[in-house]
Amino acid sequence: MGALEGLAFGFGVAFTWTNLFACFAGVLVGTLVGILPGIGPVGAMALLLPSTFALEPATALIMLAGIYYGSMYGGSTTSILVNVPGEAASVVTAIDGYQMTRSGRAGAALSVSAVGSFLAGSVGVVGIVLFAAWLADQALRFGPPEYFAMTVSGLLLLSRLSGGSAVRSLVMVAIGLAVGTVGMEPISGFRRFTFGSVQLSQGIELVPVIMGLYGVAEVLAIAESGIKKAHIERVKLRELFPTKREWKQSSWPIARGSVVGFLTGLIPGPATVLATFVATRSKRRSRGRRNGSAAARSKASPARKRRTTAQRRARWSRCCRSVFRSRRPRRFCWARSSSTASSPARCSCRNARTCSGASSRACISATRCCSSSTCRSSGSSSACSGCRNTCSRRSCCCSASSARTA
Amino acid sequence: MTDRLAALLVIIAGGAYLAAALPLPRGVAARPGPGFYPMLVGVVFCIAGLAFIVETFRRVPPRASPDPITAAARIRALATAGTLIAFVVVLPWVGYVAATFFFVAAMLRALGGGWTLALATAIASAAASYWLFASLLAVPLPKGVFFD
Repeated sequence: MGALEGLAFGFGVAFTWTNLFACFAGVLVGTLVGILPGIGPVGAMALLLPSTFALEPATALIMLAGIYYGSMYGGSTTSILVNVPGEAASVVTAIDGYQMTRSGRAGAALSVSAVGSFLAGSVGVVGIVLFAAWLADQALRFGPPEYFAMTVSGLLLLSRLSGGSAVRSLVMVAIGLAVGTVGMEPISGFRRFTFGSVQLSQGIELVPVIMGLYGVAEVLAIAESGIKKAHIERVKLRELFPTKREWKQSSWPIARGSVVGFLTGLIPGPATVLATFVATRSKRRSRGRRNGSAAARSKASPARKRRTTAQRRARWSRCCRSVFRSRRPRRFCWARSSSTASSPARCSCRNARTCSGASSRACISATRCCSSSTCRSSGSSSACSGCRNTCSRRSCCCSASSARTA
Repeated sequence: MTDRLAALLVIIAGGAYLAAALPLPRGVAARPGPGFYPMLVGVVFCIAGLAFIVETFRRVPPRASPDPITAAARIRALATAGTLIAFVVVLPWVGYVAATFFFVAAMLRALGGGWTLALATAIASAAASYWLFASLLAVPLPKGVFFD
């Protein structure tokens, strides 16, 4: 039986009512369990394995696959809604997904994430079916040098992922590497930095670190603003459907993510997390000047580029006129235009004074931080806490309130 | 100023890490021992800290802006952090249910919720999370020294 006949037979087995229901039940339970923090796909499958014992082998396998995909998706739900990624692979979902929640598009973010996961998963399956034999050969050629190159490129991607200052990213990378060395050394079993503790010799796992970094940070941010202001966004049923524009904006990132994820995922080893970082990074790159942060958005479209160029030109001419009239130094000119320009998303941070003296490159990323929905959700100054470090509060809020209209 | 303090902390942490990493058996580059990689990481750590502090000096100090963090907000944030730490310390002693109850109640009170809300939510969340994790998912939660 050839590969394609086998596949057809597999579809025949899968498309029976029993198996479809098993798949549905698996996805549903898997999503519910995956929402629980710290329980990833593997944990969810291990927990729910006994429930499949009573089933036929094929049905049980289908149900377990459903549980796997469901819990994978469940992990992204918490990162989108409350900025607490349940596992490593959904960290990058939190970066953009939570921003969409803050700007009131939580439902759309959930839908885009679900559709994107489904499409990318399908692409992966089709790709594996078509090229499995050839790809397996290639994957086996991966040796230590390739892994080393992968790790280094992963770290580099990671450090430039969030924008901001390169030095700070380097500090974060160093801290992460240092934390990673705690525990039993994998080759010789030597205990490093355990201080005699049995728990530490297991190493520090990624999930507690993520939960602590994101979860505790979120709790502290809520504590600072007080319980009255903090509220979890409610998702209405009709908001689950993204707008036409959001579909359009997210279609390319989904397509790109599918391909990048498929290629990265072929590499044996812990490639899932790396794949998400690579895909996000490629999305960021294509965004040109990184000035927005909503997930369902890829600003690489030519129309958008044209529009921003026109805006910049208009701003510049307005700027020059004001310089000409008042004979102000050009540097101050940027400050002027920041308060008058119709879309100051980029302008307000250009001037060194509002952006705590950062260079213009750091400014752009600071603007990205500012115009993002940390500030967009409300115009009050307390909402700006997210970008306190890179940008002064005031400029942050001014660009946020106008970014909302832009 | 905060940046400079953070950079200083990074340098101190990097130095401490390097100092702890150097006594480990390093081996040679062809056959690296368990201390080889930590040594490299420690060096990168220190370099990162130094670069960070240099960067804070290169930046123009920001214009004095009114600080919107009120004293009350600061106290709330500190109280939350304190409660979290207390939860971790107390958990092995009093067990999961009691610790969660006190933690949730204290948190809600610290954040400005009323007594009724705090107690009701505390009871509900302690019971629900214990049922979910301990009974349904069979996660071994600390029982506490008093209940053994």
